[in-house]
Amino acid sequence: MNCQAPLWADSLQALVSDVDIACAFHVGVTVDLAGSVAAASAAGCDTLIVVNELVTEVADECARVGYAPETVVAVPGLYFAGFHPDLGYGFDGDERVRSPWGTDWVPRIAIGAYSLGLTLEQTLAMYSTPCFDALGYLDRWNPSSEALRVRFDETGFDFTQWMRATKRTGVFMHGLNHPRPLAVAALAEQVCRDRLGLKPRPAHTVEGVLYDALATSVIWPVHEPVAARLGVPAVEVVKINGRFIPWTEFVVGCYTDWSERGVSTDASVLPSLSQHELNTLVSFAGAMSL
Amino acid sequence: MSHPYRGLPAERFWNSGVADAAPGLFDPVGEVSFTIERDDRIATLGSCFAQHVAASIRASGYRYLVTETAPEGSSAEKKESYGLFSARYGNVYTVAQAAQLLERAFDDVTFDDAAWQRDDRWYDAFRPTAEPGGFGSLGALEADRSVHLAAVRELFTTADVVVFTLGLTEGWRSRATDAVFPIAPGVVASRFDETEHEFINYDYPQVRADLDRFIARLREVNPGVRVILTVSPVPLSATFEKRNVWVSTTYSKAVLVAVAQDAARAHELVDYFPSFEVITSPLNAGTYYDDDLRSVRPIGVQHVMRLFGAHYLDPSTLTHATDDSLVAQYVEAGRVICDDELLDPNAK
Repeated sequence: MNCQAPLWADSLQALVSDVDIACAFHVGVTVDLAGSVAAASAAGCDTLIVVNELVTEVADECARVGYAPETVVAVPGLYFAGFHPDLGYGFDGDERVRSPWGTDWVPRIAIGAYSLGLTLEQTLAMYSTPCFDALGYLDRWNPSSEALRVRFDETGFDFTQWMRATKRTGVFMHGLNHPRPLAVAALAEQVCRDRLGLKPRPAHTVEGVLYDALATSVIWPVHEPVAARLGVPAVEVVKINGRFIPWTEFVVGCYTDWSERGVSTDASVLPSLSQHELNTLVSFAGAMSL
Repeated sequence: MSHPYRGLPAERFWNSGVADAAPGLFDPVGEVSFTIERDDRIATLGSCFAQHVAASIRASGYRYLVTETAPEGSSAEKKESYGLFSARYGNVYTVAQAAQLLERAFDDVTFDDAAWQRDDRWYDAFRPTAEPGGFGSLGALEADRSVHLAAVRELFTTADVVVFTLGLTEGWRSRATDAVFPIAPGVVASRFDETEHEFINYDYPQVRADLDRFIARLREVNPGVRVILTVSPVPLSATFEKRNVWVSTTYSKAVLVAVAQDAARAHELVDYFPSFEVITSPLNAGTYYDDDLRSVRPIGVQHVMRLFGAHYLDPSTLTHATDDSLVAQYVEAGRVICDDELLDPNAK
């Protein structure tokens, strides 16, 4: 079960409380696919909701253990970078590059600057509107939106309906792949209505009673330049397990930690930095040193 | 089947033009009839929202024209009263005020009831809050007014672009002289006397006539000037009509939007710029307003001025085409992140 699973469970319960949902599994980003299938089988689930990328593996595992749910619904993974273009996953060879607070999420600019050998001062100065603009960070909504539309199309769900319901709530993601409750509920509404033949309540009517399970994990900032472009409130702190860490402190902490731990300058980030983005970082660093 | 709407641009349809637009990228401006060059002198006047426009133009590095500056030795408080607009006329809420301003400046139109008194201080009835604390004497008021009107003349004869933010249709005027005031008598100074003052809520024909009068007089003194009309999205703080202030706000803004758009169609080198539509669009669900649901938040102002800049100052920034390579990267990244975390025993 991945980190979105509690949101799915809560959404489904809230949307169709007159239907007995004994177990709501979202077998997605998980290391224990076999364990999840086993748990679903043991609970007697007749429906599995599976992120599309894992449908084949789940089907194989079900077949292997002789578990035959009546319905398997493939759903799109909810990944969206429009609010958080600087969020990435760091790698140093086969090792993860994490923040000193233990988060998998790290700043793409900081990773890029670190790998280029730029100074901490240069790195911090890149968190500015001109640099974000040059990186294309201010125009990430459309490509990110189109990428998500592709995933919806692959699974036959209505992206336009989902996006309309979701975007009016403002910042609907805590990070690249951590949706807020309504984002999941709006998709769960489609699942219930269009795939399971149920009559769910409209997602917006249950928004106030949904539990934001992912708010207790990491909430990534919406940097001022991005917020200004998208017309949403800016947040310049990272929330990690209940702690609020100012952005500058977070970047300083990452940079210092990576240096002390000897993270190599071959470190990379995913989504990867394009050559244009790397050139932009070099260009801005050069301008600062003049 | 062919029909008139087939093949129209995406912006003409509600779904593609509004409902599915990306927040912050919503652009209802359309074609503009001119652009602004770096050496163009830009003047602003209008309601409170015009102050945001002025500040943004000034910050953009373009040539914001100010013809009335604080005298040497002015107090800090007094200095702050200059530069809010291109001249120290204060808020020009109604179009009638604007037309009256030009006539006072260029045609020597004067009014007998243009000086208000409170205690021993004197206030210019046409800009009662311009001088902090008022003037010490009627003579000081008139001397400052003379300087002010000279600055107004210089402004409107030398400006290359005038940005006029239309604010209200409700106002107060003198029964005896027809002088139009920005604030009801008695609020800042003087006293309200219904035998001397009357409330007026200008309707479409009146506002249209005043705006045509303003543009015509402006063109007479400055034939080449370009004009940008826009309507303030700031609701009325109070109405004197016997109805809810929101109903009055809707009336006022509807009249102003209709007049401004029609005037832009009727006059060459006059554009309508949809500030009001950007801020009040259902796309924003009210998020561009502060908690008082009246003040416009900086993110809203930034959206308006970003569009202003893109259309009038630097059209090269207009393109927001979707980057297909990024789409592909994000689609792939979603899968890779997913697959990758399968390898990570600590992944949630």
